[in-house]
Amino acid sequence: MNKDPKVSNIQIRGLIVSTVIGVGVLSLPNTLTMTMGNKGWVTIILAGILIIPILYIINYIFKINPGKDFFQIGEETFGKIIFKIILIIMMAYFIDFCAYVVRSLGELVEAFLLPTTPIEVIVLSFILATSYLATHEIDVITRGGYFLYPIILLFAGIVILISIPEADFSNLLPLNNIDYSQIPRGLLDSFVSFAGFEMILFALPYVENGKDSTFKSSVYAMAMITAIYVLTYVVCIAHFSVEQLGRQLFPVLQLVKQVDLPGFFLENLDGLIMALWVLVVASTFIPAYFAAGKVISKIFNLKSHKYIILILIPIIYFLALYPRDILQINKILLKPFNILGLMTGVILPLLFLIVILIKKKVKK
Amino acid sequence: MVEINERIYPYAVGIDVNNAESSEGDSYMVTFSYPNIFSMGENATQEETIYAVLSTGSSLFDAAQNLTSNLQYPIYNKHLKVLVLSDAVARNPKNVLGIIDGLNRDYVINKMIQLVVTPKTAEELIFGKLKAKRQRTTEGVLYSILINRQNTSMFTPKTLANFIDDMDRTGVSTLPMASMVEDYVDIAGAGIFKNYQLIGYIDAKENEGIAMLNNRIRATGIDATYNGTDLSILATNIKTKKKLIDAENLKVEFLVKIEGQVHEFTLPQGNYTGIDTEEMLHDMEEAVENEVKMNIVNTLEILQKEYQADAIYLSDYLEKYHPNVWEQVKDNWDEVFLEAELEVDVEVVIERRGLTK
Repeated sequence: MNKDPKVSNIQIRGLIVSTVIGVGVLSLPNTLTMTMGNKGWVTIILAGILIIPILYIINYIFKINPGKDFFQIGEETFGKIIFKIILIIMMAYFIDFCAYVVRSLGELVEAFLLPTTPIEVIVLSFILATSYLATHEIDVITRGGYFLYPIILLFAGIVILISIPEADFSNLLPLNNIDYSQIPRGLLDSFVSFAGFEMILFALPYVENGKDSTFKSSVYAMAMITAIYVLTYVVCIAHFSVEQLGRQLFPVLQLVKQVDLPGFFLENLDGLIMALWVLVVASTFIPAYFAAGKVISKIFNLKSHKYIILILIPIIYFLALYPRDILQINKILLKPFNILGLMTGVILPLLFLIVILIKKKVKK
Repeated sequence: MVEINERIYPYAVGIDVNNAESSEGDSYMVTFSYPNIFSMGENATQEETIYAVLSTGSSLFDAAQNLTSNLQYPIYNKHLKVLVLSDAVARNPKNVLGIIDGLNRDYVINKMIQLVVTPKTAEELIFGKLKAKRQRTTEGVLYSILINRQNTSMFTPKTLANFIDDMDRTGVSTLPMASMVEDYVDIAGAGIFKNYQLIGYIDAKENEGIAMLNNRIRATGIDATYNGTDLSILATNIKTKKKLIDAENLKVEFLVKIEGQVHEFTLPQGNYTGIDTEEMLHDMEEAVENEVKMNIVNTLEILQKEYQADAIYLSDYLEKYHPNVWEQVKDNWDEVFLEAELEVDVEVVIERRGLTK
């Protein structure tokens, strides 16, 4: 790094929101309805609340180690060897993240927009187009996320607003018979859609003004994400029956297809929404791509992650295209994503905290 | 690259049973009607505005494939607006399920297409509407009647999404009934579907009763008799609320509130000075109330006793607002619905008398 990159609090917020809201929002109502019926909003809110302590831990780690970035703190806390193992796990997570995201996008674009284009072309163009941005430092990535943040809000806003006229909110009733035994399962389903907040591990050390309010920014971002997910879920339930939601793979896209406002003014919006969707996915993919490159460059003690990004192009390409169909995508890319995501997002900060606390006690 | 004018965009599709002896797995006869884009616009080169073609096939998509030997452009279903099911097709639940599944799965077909049922064959309806010159519009005859800008209560439009939703929720739905009357397309009444199977028909009056109970019409005309003369009312606002009266022996009350105005009424002899007393207005309201109540009670009888079809979303109401009651009755809902006591209470308020007394 030539100069220390600088980011601001509001950019952190933009980064978290634009990274997290990506692949999950399209299919979240479908997976949640199968476990929680029409009460899925309960687990979304719960998952959002449960991530707050994790955000606190991450902020705390950087607060008591001022001036150091994630990799320095990690080495000091765990020692070189153990931290290298942790970095390898993170590398696997981010590469899987990238492959899953780009493959999902490819499938969607091919199905709804470009049925005769080979999926290889879609996947490769996407990786190539985003690779340039991923070669830059975290401040550029964060600024990119902040730039795309209003587009994400616009996308969510459009989906929610156009669905309200035809919505039947009584589908959310009855409110009282929540199946408590399914909540852990529902939490797991919801948690996957919140993956991506780990990006702040790379961005937090460089916040220049208002270091104390980074926790507030993170929580604000998480609240916004939770609100968007809950609203999207509610609007889907208000439109479809529980059975129909369970059947459909992409209920949010179906919602958009079903808009029929009077006067033929808004009809067949799927083209526009898909175009916006590509941007939304890009804002999720680029930080993960950057993270993969950065982590690998630290494993091999390289100065810059630029060339790693180039090397990752064929790796992500082949991994993304390896599964043959949607069932294999879930088995090969999604399942490891769940596990690695939990490890990186939840277990890692907890480990940090435990080791730091132990070291504090030992020093005394 | 397929240019926009190198495609055929069907507006309406009709599905019949293939009665040919050697059907070879092609169980349907499918009719497509599509506009002739060369007859539209300023530089129209052809006169005929709409064409219809038909083919056999194992599905809508297969039939479109089979047509490629005599069509000059590929069929593209994105602007498909109406699906017509013939009586013969709809009586078999396997057919209906298969067709609905195909429509639901397809990427291109819009899920807001209108569904109709026809008592004879869809081929007759679709080829018949080619002759209906008066009814022709840019968006297609069937579609323009079905989207109901004319606010009729004689039929209730149903989209594919709504039909699937009904089937999931209550297992019962109604599709408008379309047929050719002389040279014109007439849509009135409905076919009742239970668990994806057509079980019978109701006429326009009964459809109005159901539409009132489901809050599907705002305005309609109501005719009653008062003092031996015809009284014509325009109801401008109709709202129905359901209320559970007794949970043990299922008893539900439907409270129908109608606001309206007098459309036509006169007493030709006697001391008639116009509608100018409260007592007279009140008596008129009562006459209308009785008329509406009679129609709705009759409709409910048919739904309950003859078809055992909950087309009034009673099970949905119980599930949402009285989940404890629903838990008890859901396993033998058909019997419970048959025995349920459905009371109707109609309240009419005549607000205006028109321009004269």
